Amino acid sequence: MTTCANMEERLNDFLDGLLAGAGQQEVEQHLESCGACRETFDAIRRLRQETSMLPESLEPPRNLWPGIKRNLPGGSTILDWRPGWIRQLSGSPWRAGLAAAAVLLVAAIALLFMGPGWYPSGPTGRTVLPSESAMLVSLRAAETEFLRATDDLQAELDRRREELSPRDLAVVEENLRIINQAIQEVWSVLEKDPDNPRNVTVFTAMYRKKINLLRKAARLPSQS
Amino acid sequence: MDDFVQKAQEGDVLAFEHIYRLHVGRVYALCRRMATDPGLAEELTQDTFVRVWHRLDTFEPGTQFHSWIFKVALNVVLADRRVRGRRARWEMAVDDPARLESPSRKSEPRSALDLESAMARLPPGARQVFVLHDVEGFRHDEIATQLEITPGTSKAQLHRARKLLREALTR
Repeated sequence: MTTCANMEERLNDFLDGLLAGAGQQEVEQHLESCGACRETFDAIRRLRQETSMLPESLEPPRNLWPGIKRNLPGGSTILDWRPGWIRQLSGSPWRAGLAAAAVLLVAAIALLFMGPGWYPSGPTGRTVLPSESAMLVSLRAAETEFLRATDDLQAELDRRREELSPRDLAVVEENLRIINQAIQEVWSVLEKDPDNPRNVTVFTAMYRKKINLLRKAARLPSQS
Repeated sequence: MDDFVQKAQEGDVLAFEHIYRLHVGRVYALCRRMATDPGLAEELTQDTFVRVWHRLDTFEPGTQFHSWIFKVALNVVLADRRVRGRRARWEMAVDDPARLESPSRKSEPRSALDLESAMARLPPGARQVFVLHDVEGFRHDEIATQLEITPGTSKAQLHRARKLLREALTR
């Protein structure tokens, strides 16, 4: 006898025409006798109907042609095939200021976590920002400080592990896994291209996300 | 249409602008639904048409031009997704229906706008499979190839997307 267990998956397959023969008959028979599954089936079917009625075209909110034309031969811009997000940054009018901004960003991180004495002082006593070639060294040092912050929060999460609902814990852990993986991947990109300011921005954003997530996790209500 | 394509292939920018006007809505719809971010969708749309221009000589006369443009657009979106995906995945990875709040109230009939809005709030993996399967009509094996996942994962993501959408739209 067919039960409701795993029925949602089969209802989807049934609706998509992926069931045949006995499998199809089983679902049909089950639907005749089970009101709850019939309701689910109707909801999936309705969603499919509504989706099929979505417009095939959506007009962009502005005219994109001038931007395209500029990138055609004879246009005013040299064609650039780099991915959009890299182009957004390195090809933008802000390009000249971004390398400096990245250095300042690292400096800001360092100052935030390590205090003003972290960078070596120049002969006049003013703080000397690291050169772009020192970017990786700076980022590794900054990461050490990020890790101190996240380790403390992680310890708090571990302490509360038993109190949290399994669902909340699973969501937090899945997000942490993704963020950690992303951090590793950013590192591999940074090692190849340490002076790309976008990578630096992404790197710091990842850690901010991680810290925010751990902070939120620390404040999650207990399940009891 | 063939005339415009032929003229564009010969370097006629005005003919290409006509092609752009005819196809921009379809391309933008794909980009908008796959990427959700309006700025990124515009960028991908522009990238698509620039790429179309440079590949016009590879279009085979007698085949469907709109299908060919759509394939170019999908390739642009997926190539960008591969680069951007690592960053984007964590931005909306929380599998919580509460993030999929619908603008409509329960008592009001839901609209296409509600559905678009709820789709945009789906986790990226589920959203992309949903758009390709339920909106664009691809099969799971085709989606699996395009997104570099297994057909089983494609199916699981589709079911997850439908479930999250149902929950969001009936809240």
